Amino acid sequence: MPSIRLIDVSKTFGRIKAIHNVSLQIADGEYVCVLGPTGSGKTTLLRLIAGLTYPTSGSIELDGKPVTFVQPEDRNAAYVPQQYALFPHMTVRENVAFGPLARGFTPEESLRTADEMLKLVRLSHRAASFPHELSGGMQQRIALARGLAGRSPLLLLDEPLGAIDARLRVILRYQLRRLAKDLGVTVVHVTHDQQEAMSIADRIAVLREGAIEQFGHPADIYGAPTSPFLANFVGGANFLEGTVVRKELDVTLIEVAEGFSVTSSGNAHPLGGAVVASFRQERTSILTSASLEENLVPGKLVSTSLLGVFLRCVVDLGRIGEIVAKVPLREALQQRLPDRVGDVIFVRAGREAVLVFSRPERALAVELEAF
Amino acid sequence: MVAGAFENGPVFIRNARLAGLESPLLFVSFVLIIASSFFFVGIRIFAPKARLPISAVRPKLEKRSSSRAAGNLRNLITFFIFALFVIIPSLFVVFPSVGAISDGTLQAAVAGTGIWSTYWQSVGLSYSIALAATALNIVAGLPVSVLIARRRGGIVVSGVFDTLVNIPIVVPSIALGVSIGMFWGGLTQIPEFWLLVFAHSSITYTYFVRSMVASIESIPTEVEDVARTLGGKPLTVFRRLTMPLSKYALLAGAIMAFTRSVDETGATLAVAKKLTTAPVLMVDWVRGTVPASSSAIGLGLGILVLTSFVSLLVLTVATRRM
Amino acid sequence: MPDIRIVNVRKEFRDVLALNDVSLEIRDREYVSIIGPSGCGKSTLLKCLAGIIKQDSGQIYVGDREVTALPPEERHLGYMFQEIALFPHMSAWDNVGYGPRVRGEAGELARQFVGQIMEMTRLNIASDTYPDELSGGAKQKTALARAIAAEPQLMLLDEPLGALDAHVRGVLRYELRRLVKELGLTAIHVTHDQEEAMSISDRLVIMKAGQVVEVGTPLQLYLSPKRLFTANFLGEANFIEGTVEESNQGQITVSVKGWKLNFAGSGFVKGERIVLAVRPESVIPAPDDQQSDREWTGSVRDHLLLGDCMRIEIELENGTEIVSQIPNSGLQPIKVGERARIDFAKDGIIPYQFPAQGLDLELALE
Repeated sequence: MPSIRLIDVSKTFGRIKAIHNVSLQIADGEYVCVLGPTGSGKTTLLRLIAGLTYPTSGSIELDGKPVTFVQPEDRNAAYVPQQYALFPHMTVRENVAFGPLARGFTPEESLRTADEMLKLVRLSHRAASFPHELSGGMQQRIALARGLAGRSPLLLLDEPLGAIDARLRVILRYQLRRLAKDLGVTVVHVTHDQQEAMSIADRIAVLREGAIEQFGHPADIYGAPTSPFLANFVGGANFLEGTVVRKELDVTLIEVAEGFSVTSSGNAHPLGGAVVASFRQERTSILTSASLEENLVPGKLVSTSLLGVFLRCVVDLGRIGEIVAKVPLREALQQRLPDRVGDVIFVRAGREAVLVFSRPERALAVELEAF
Repeated sequence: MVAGAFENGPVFIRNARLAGLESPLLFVSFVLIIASSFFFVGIRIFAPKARLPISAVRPKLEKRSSSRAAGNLRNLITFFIFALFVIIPSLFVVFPSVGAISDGTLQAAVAGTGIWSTYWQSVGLSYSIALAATALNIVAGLPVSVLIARRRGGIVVSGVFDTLVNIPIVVPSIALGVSIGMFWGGLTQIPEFWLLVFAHSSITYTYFVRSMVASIESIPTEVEDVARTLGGKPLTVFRRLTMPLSKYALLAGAIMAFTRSVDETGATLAVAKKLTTAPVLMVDWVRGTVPASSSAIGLGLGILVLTSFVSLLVLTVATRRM
Repeated sequence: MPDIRIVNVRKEFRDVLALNDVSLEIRDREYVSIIGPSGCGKSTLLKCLAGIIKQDSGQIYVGDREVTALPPEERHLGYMFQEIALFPHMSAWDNVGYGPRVRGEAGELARQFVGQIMEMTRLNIASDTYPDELSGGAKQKTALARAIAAEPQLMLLDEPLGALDAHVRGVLRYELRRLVKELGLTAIHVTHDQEEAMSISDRLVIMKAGQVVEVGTPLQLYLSPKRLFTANFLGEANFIEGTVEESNQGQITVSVKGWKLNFAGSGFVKGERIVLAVRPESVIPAPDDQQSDREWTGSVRDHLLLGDCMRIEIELENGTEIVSQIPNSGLQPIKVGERARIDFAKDGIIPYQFPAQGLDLELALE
């Protein structure tokens, strides 16, 4: 039985439709990330599940029971907001014990549960401190412990790592997932960081302007995005607009500029159709010498910048446009790319790496949220 | 009392009453209440929309007036004005009080002989009324504060309440006094003490509510949201979160209401027929309706000033902690 | 634009030493980022440079001019805050034009100037648009345009992209560099996001607890960090503790929990405790079907698709854990639970002396 079920839920604030006919099923014990840009409605969605606001239409079920208008205190879904909202006038221990206490457990039981939770998040030594005395990372763990202490089967996290330093975030997110899995709780984790979502979610729901763009496993969203927006928002990609000029059993040829065509495997688009060919930056290779391979084109290396694992190279392909290639650092240094800025080099993307989409209604730049 | 010939609001009400000019008084009060309410609401609605021409920049003038010397001169002038218009006049009463120690008035005051027995009675009355009025304000004020601060009942309803709560401050005290006096004064079945308590509550309610609203609004709603999702019923959340986090605002609001009540003269004059509160008694002493020596007046007022200083101290401590 | 010199700056707040004798030199037209964990003093340093905070001791020079005692408005700096802080009662255009107006310029010439700046920052917004109508990215660009329009000698950026979504941040950061370079400005950019800093700076300054830990170009600091903290803060790393068994002729042999590791290096003595930093991308896993107890083998504990990379966590037979991160080539990774052996890329092992204060404290990111 699914733990959470949203059936055609909509939420309107005045004239703004924050949530647009969203239907979702989340299984018991699943770790789901709701990913989307600011203003896409992610927080509203979370608050609807928590019961802090009610839908304008549609229904919500938790554990098979309808809870659409049930008060938050009767829903058993612990909510951890972005700024943690730790109770400033209570100690860490009292904060964490609040849930059990409010649910009717005796003070002794509540404190015992609190101590258990604090041990789990490795903050037993700060039990008597006050929230303002703790660092950001510690506060986050306390907020988590407090949410888990009430033994709710459902944990709703609003940007739990948003206020944490970038470097710490990478470490803490794995710990977060491990904690949730060890305790067997279902988690809905809202974030705007696709790296975060990709690295810890069982499934990702990408939200855009109040509606779900795609809901699936990270590998599916990354490997088979259903729109240019998704290909760009999750992982980033290069995009070339063009027309289908030849179509065979398993190959499509797309003309993107006079005299230059891109070969892609697959044949989902009709001959003459207006399409967008896209290929991931890390599947775009740079070669220092020409060859007769398909999808190979010369260009000028405009700049290189270090991303760590990759070297990011911007290449100007003249009338075709500008593309970005992410080359593994070791390889890039062997090719001496940082010293080759300004030189002519060659760019290539394998046909199986080229994804083809129908040209979107709105201009591509708008679709990709360029500003 | 300063101008002699002119009369301020509360005194005017009383004299008008004595002169039998009730009807014109009522009419004037009515007009004032309506006019000031409209004015207040108008400002509330239109002020945010006005675009004031404050973006003009005058580099040279601003640079010169930002220099250190200009800053010091500014501070000096400000302090001088503050001292001359606020501090010195307020505490001037200290001088005659000092005289009271030497000429035997102090002993009489402590002993409670002569005019001093009425004095201590009035003081006692003022404080009892203030205490009762403040307690009433707290009980009746908390639910309304939550309603306004948390927009329960919708934005429109809480907005209306928010505006209405401010009326006693905006409306001129003479009009307020007449209106309140008429309402409560007409209920002769109720003992006069309680009438005074209710009248004072009406006036001081707003101070308490404003303090509580400001404090509750400053508590992030997420704190209460989280508490509810953890299983806390609304009353539990209020008791264990909202109240502890607002305890200093409650104290500050209570003190403001209390001191305002002790201070209140106009409404008292409009309502009271037999009982006399401290400020009313002082008016009589000063005007000579009740004979009292100047050192007695000084001492009497001095004691009142001293006790209000104590309140001020507690208020400062409370607001610092907020 | 002149060089910047910060000499022995010290700042104490109540009981915290925010800046402990910090000295730094920034060359004309350099794009320098100052990075470090929260509380390392990077923001304080920037504010001292701007004149918003007064340091307890030390001097600051902009070119030949000593600005140590000058108030902010006389230092001719452009400052950009994390909170964006656009003037809400002025239109976006008026915000950008504030700098010129304060300097006494007005009229047609000033308007043209503002127009040029707007075009340079690629801000296509109408002249009557107010800040509350703009998106986060557009607001940030307006704040940038405003800072530039004041024609500063130096751009000081304090977490300029902090208030933005991850996606927007990832795009806008390159715009930031482009503008600064196009205008030939010197920029000092403070951030906690080391990936952001690595990708757009000419040089990086790493700070921890009020002191400068290391300075260098992104490549230098990433490939050959001199300090363990740098290896941990800039990008990720596996840290392997061991003891030196042999060190001669440019080759070092280290024993790690019974296994041996051989790599090129020098400067260590036999018996010395050593810490090896190995970046995840230098750990190369391969399937291992042999049942033999070879060294450096283990089983795959978890593998995560990060998008452009695959992250593989391996539990080694000698009791340690190691993380590998290999580019996503579209091929199938080793399944969870299966045996794997790991190889280390040449040049991928960076040796350090075991830190006196212990490894955890040295690596601490908080």
